[in-house]
Amino acid sequence: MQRLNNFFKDHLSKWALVWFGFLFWGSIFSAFLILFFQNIDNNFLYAIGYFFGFLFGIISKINKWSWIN
Amino acid sequence: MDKLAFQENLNQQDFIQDHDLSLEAEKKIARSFMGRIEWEMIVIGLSQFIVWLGVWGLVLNGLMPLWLGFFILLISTTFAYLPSHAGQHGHLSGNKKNLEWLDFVVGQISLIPLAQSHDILKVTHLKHHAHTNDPSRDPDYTHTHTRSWFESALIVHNQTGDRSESLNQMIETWMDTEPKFKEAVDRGTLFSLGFFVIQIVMAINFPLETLFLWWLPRKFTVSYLGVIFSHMPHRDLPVGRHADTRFWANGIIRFFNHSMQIHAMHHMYPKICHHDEPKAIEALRPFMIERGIPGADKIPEKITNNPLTSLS
Repeated sequence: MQRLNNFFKDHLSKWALVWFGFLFWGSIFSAFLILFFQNIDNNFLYAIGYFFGFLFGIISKINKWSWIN
Repeated sequence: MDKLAFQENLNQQDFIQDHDLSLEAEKKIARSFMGRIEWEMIVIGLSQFIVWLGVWGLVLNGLMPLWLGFFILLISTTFAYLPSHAGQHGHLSGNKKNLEWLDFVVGQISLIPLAQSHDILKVTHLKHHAHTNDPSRDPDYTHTHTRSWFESALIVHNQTGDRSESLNQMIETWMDTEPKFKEAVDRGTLFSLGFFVIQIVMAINFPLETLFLWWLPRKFTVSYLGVIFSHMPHRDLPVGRHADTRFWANGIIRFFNHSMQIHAMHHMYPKICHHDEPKAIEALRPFMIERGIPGADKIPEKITNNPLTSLS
């Protein structure tokens, strides 16, 4: 249990911003895309939204933009 | 110097000559304002959380438009920090051992809209009190001592997550040398991790609501705290119990700034409850002037119900 706990801590100390960008911002980007482009397939918009979220997370990690979370 | 100011100065000098302004006398007066349970902060902390929950419920059920919920929570979230702050200083329990749980429980509930850990804020805030304005030991130093309020509003967001290098160093040092500090941070990290996961889950299920009802109001509040609670009272001031915090005014009624204009009182005696500070300042004003607290010579004799939009 302690090892699992340490694994999560170590992993998140390095990758929290990327996960947050991907899942949190990806969801928000997708929601905006679906709101603005209602006649385009939702699955495609989800894919685009989460891709941009992931990209945002990577850029935030590189630039240390902790404000995104 | 006009006639009135001259007369006031003379009165002050008379008062100083006639009264005991020793540290013992100061402490005796200060102690008379300490030790009560600050029920106002318990009410504020729980009420703003109920408002937060209520707005979420109303918006998700389509009974309130999202934009209205956003504006309500933009204001109510600014009330989320002070109850935790009161808990950090033991004001919610009145420093009574058997009620200490109130400090944590109310403090942590109050911080839910800010998605912050009460334990982590407590240990870092107490370090801020111990080392105010010390560049190597004050956790608030980086966002306090900036060139403008706008810079503070942005930099304060580096307090969380991948923090600034200097803050990271401070925290690592204290974690290595102070077991109680480490214990509190470890406990608080679990809450931070919980908020991290919950926010993601909420965003997946309610993306726009999470952005407008949680993320944006808390980011705005953190900027507000950085400017009004740190930058304005402490910027450009040196280290020293009677020199590190100023009385200030910005033209805005102090009740709209959570009375941070009189934050100097809190740094002089952190055990005095926030809602008792005006009365305490009225009683301690001659001591504050004598000790040379920045701006103390400009504060009026009556502080209670005084909006303090300017200092004369």
